[in-house]
Amino acid sequence: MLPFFIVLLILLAGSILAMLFVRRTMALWLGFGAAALASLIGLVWSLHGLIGRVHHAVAYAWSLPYASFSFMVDGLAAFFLMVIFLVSFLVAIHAIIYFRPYAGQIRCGLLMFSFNALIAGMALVVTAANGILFLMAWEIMSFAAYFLIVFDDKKAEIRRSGYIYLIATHIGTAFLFALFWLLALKSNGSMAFAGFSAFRTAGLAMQVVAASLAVLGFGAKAGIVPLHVWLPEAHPAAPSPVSALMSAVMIKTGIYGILRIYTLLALPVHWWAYGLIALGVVTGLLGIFFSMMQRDLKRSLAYSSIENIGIILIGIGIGSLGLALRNSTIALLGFAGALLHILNHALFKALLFMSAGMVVQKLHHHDMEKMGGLQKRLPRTGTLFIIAATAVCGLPPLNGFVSEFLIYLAAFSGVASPGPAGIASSLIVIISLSLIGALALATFAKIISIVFLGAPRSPEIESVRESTWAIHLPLMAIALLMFAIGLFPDWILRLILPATVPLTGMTDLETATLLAPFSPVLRGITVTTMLFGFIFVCLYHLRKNMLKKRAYQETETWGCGYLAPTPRMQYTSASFADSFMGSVKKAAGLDEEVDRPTGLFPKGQSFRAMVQDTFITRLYAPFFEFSARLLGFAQKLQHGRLPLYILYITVMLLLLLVWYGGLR
Amino acid sequence: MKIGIPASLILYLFSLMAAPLVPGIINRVKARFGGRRGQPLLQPYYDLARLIRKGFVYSRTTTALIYWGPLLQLAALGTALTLLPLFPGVPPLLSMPGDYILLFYLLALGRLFTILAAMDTGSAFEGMGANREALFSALAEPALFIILATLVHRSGFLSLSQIFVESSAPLALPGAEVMILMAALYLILLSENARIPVDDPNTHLELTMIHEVMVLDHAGPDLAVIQYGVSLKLWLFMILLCQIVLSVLPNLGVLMPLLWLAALLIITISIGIVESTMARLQMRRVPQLLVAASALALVAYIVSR
Repeated sequence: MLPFFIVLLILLAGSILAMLFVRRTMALWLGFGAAALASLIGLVWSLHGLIGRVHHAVAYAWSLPYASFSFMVDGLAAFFLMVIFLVSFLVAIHAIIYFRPYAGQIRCGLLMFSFNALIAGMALVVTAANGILFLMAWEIMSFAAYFLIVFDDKKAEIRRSGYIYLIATHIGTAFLFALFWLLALKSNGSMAFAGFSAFRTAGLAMQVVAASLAVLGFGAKAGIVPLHVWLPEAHPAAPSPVSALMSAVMIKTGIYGILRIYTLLALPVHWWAYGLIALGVVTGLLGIFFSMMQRDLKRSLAYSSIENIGIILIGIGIGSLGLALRNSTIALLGFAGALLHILNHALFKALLFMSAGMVVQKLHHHDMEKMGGLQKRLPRTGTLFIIAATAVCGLPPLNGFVSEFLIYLAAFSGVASPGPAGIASSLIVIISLSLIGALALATFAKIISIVFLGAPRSPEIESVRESTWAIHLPLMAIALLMFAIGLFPDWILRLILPATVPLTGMTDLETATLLAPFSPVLRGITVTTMLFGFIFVCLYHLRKNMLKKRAYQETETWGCGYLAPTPRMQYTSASFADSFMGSVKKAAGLDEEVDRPTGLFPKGQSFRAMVQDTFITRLYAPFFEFSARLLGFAQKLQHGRLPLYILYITVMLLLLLVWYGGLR
Repeated sequence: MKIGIPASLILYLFSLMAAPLVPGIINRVKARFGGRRGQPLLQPYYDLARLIRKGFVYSRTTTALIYWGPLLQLAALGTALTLLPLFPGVPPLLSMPGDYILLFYLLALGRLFTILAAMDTGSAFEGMGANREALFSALAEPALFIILATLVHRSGFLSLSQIFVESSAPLALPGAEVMILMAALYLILLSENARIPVDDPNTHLELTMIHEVMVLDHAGPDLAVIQYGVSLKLWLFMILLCQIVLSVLPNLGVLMPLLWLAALLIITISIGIVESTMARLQMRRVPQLLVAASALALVAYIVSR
């Protein structure tokens, strides 16, 4: 575990040094450089643990009651560490250049401090093996994220977003406090994860309560619908590299929590299966549906993260279904697909947020309706975004396809297997995955088209120029990695195999034997996608040769004979989304106000549309308003007037005196 | 993964060559219904040859995506055809468990870049077409995957070649169920290939088009690539339908090629008859048709237990 502590030490040193030298540009190199260095060491260390199947466990005494500094790294933790350090490394390098305009400002020091604390917090969360330590790491992570979200705290809406995040994360943590208290209560007061095994003997009701608390508490961090409302608020508010880090890895710690509790509880696997599939289907479908409706680029990406959390939950659900059906192939495919999707989503969502961030940095807003035509001005950024978007739709030859393929294959195996239990839920998984995939395709087709294609919708886009190539290097590395996974899925699956061991309950050897027949399948993907690439390259060169010999002409876009087209006539984000909402516009949270022209000489007319998360307007706002009314009486006591408070104190003292006298 | 036999390669090449004939036959059927003699059967080939010889014209708004779209679509279709068993009893060129997922996701990749190529022009009309294409294919996708799930469930196999080639009585579906399954797939075939009653390939009003309006700004060799891709996609769906039809018929040995051609011809003519006798649906009715296809497929899935 020594390298792990060195990693933490570097992160700590980097944050303090960044704060000390914050007035100089060097601070960026110190702060983010330390994050990159620490992440690189951590990445190598976690890969070593994953490949070499090295398990670490250490425990040091701590004077705090029930607490101890105990850490444990098994396959599952090593996998999550790898994802965290890989993304942190790439985002940190990108951030050194991205934050250059802010260099020398005090808040930049706080940003780097929180950035490093966030990485350290996440690493601690997935390695902690004691309830108290876990909760502390969880809070370090959550608070670091809060300070990152409110980086631009001069804007009121950003402070509001930070506030929503703070409330959501604390409600989640409250459930976790209850969860660990319950676990400790039934395990003879031990807060060590190893001691929680005693909880397995508790009754079914206890298991259900503990699992529900875990899903509520960790689900609030992961963004499971309807606990997702902080994500679309926090991601647009935070600086883009921070959004990348949060969306790509921080929300995954919620998934880690669910998986860790999954291994600790004795809840029957089919309960997990049906529960997680249901949650995953709802989260996935609503996530992508809301994503389609947004006009804010980063908000749309945040909703797409919710969708992907849904896919991951579906994968875990179908894996549990495999365990319930005693079909270890389905179990392995489901869990492996879910874990691979965690890695894949981390990669493509980091790429999406970082490339979107470069667009935002040029235009100073996230409103898609004012974008357009950026592919001509930002060709590298645009191409990287398109690659990431293709991956997020789960399309070959990129990495998103591989993980969805594994989950599909698990579901199709469930359909093919005898017995009614698997047939219905597997079909539901297949239907929802196909619908989620098709809607994701439509959503990202919309985002790419509105942001990067067509003619610019606002004049300032004309002057936008591409940044230095160095800022794109980490992004290109991610793109390459995504192609590597998409074209050669065999190696990555063997790499993440140890992480499935704690989940499937099989041994290392058993999982490897089960996976062996799927190597040819994955090589089939390699051959087919290679063939696809070959045909494409052939066609491309054929066209290129033709281009030399033929006439070449540039004209205007065909406008049906109309002579004065303007960019405002193009399809907009809202018009693209409109047909998808069909007759559920109101329920989906679209608020339209139309003032139609009337009479022979119409004067004014107006149209206003606003999209709000229907869970905020229909569920949370009424709930918090209700509780505010309910607790309104307390306001009468708290007037803020000093004489009144002195009166309270005097009355209280008198009462105490009378009580004390009475006792005697 | 398995690699096919020489017969598979011959069938693959035959498919690549024969695909444009299908729109030719459909046009002939429609002409006969309209009381005309109609174009030559080989007209689609002449059109392709004419387009290929032309020059390139692009809108100033566009980027490289306008020609990446058609090329990626054609490459995806060319690859997808290697995964499909083209003839009863003959394995496809490539096959593995879950090959149908790869097949339809390759088609989705082609669709994404076709939409992007349309949106690249910044035209409101093409936006309209792209929007409808995205919506209708999103609704067709679940139906398609329920059909696949029914095939997998019924046969107990995980790859198309096993479903259609290796098992002796592949589907063993009683008449009614296979009819429902075929009806669902037929609706998807019409919708995915932009045929009446979802889209009219011959319409001349931009506002009412789906697929045709998406390619308004493509010309010359790019348009040839698109037209050829359109016929390949139609061929691919027809073959899938044909495989399901033939899987319930007894194996006739040497007569099989004739039966195969007859089935393909009947499907082609039926598309022509539908186009001649039906009007296209109102746009807002199309989602209902696609949901109906999903419902039919679901019935087939439930009944085939």
